[in-house]
Amino acid sequence: MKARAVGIAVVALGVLLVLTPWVIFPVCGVGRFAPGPGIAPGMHPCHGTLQAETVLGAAAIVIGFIPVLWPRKKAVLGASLGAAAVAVLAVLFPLAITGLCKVVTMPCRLGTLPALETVATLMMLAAALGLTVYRGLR
Amino acid sequence: MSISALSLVLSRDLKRRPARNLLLGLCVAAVTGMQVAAALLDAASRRGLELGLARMGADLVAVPRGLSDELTHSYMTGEAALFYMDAAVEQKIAALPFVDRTSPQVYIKSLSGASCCSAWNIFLIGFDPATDFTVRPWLTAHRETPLGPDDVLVGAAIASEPGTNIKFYGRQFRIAGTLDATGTGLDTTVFIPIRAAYLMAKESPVKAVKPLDLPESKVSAVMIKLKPKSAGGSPAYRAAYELEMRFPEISVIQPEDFMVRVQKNLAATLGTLRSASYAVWPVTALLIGLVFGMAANERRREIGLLRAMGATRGFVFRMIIGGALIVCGAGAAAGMAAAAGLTSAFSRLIALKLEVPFYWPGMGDLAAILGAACALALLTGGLAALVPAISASRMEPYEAIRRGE
Repeated sequence: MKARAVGIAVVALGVLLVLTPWVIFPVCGVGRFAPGPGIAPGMHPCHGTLQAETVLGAAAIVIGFIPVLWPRKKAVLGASLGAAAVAVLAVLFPLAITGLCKVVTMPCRLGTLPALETVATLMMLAAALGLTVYRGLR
Repeated sequence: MSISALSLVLSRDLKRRPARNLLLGLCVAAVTGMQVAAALLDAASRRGLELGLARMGADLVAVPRGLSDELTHSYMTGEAALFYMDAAVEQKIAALPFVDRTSPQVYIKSLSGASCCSAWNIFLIGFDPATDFTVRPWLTAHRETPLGPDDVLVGAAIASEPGTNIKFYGRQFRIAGTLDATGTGLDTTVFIPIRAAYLMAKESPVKAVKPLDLPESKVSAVMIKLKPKSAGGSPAYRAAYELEMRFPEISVIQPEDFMVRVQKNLAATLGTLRSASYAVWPVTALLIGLVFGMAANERRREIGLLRAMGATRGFVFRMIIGGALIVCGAGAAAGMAAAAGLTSAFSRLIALKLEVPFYWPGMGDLAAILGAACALALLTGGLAALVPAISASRMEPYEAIRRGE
């Protein structure tokens, strides 16, 4: 049961990671920040981060399903380490790898970045919880 | 019985009911988190306002009649205010006996989605380097490198390195320096020498995607420094009244206007956070009291056996109170971490949505806020568990074992 709970938490956070830059706190030019009719959509620097976070979220969903379907000790360990890696990358992509727009009042810096940091922190907590569960499992 | 025995009993007791303790901890976390968030928001907006007013440097600001709200909004959010008045008004204001100095400013907004602007929708402030108060601290500190005609200063929140170029309306500027952070909208503004701003407007029909209509006979605001009282000056409120009476075409903004606006913008949010916290607080205290009372009742036999083995009344009392304090302490720590983390991460969004300045409080203020919240959470837990702790510690060993069976 505990192994499955860890997996479900990682899956939920993976879904949140995908939804954040598209729907909840969209990056510039996406969702509620999409340009109006007749205006050509521009390519913002934060769109690289959007794609990276989508892939990372999908990876977290796949990783989380492993202990849900196969609730063993090794599956919990794998999901926890995988979730920790996703959490680190989810912050590294906007801050250092793909980057965001320059001006701090742009939607990607105002909402998306802090939201991604929050999801990454929760993902790290889920990973830590997973490792605690792993130690308790036989 | 020793402290190690007490910690052993406490740790076993807490592990025995993880779900119950988690729920209690979450309640305490919610109460503490709301209190900390409200206090941080209040302290950060006050500090931001102080820094913002210090940056503005002027005692009064004159703007076209009826547009004072637009300027305060701009200073809070960094969204450009676009209004102009006759530049001659500056000379008229400067001639008044209670006025020490004046300095004009022009406000411009960079174009959106245009290749002739490096940054879009940015609030550009044209200032006169010879008379300005707003960026004077920077100019004074960098006396050895005076500003060139196309040198600009950027707010702390604009991620551009000094020495790099930035383009507005097709005119190239060099970033000469970054101003200190204030937590206000001024952090996202770019300060351009007023001559360069007029030149940029003149060249814009040729160089820019859209021309900028800014004749040299217009200014947006006049910053006013009043003479000190000893030199024949007037108090700010009287000077503002006199200016508005003499020049019907202007409105005069005083620092108090910014404070009133910040307080008005914050009132609803702080009220909601504090009311929610005050509503949950007694429920949480009641819940802690009930849960620990029920736990003490369930554990009569265990408490009786502990007493029979030599545990004192004080040991039983400390065991119950200690459990409550641990749950409340952990809940408070989680609530404080979540509130501080979320407030810090979303500070710019909060400031923009609420139209208030936001500058993270100093270590002293932060320690006071967190300390007070933690003390309040522990006090709540301690007081709520007091009745069950006293009643459990008064049980006679034989009676407790017999009634617990």
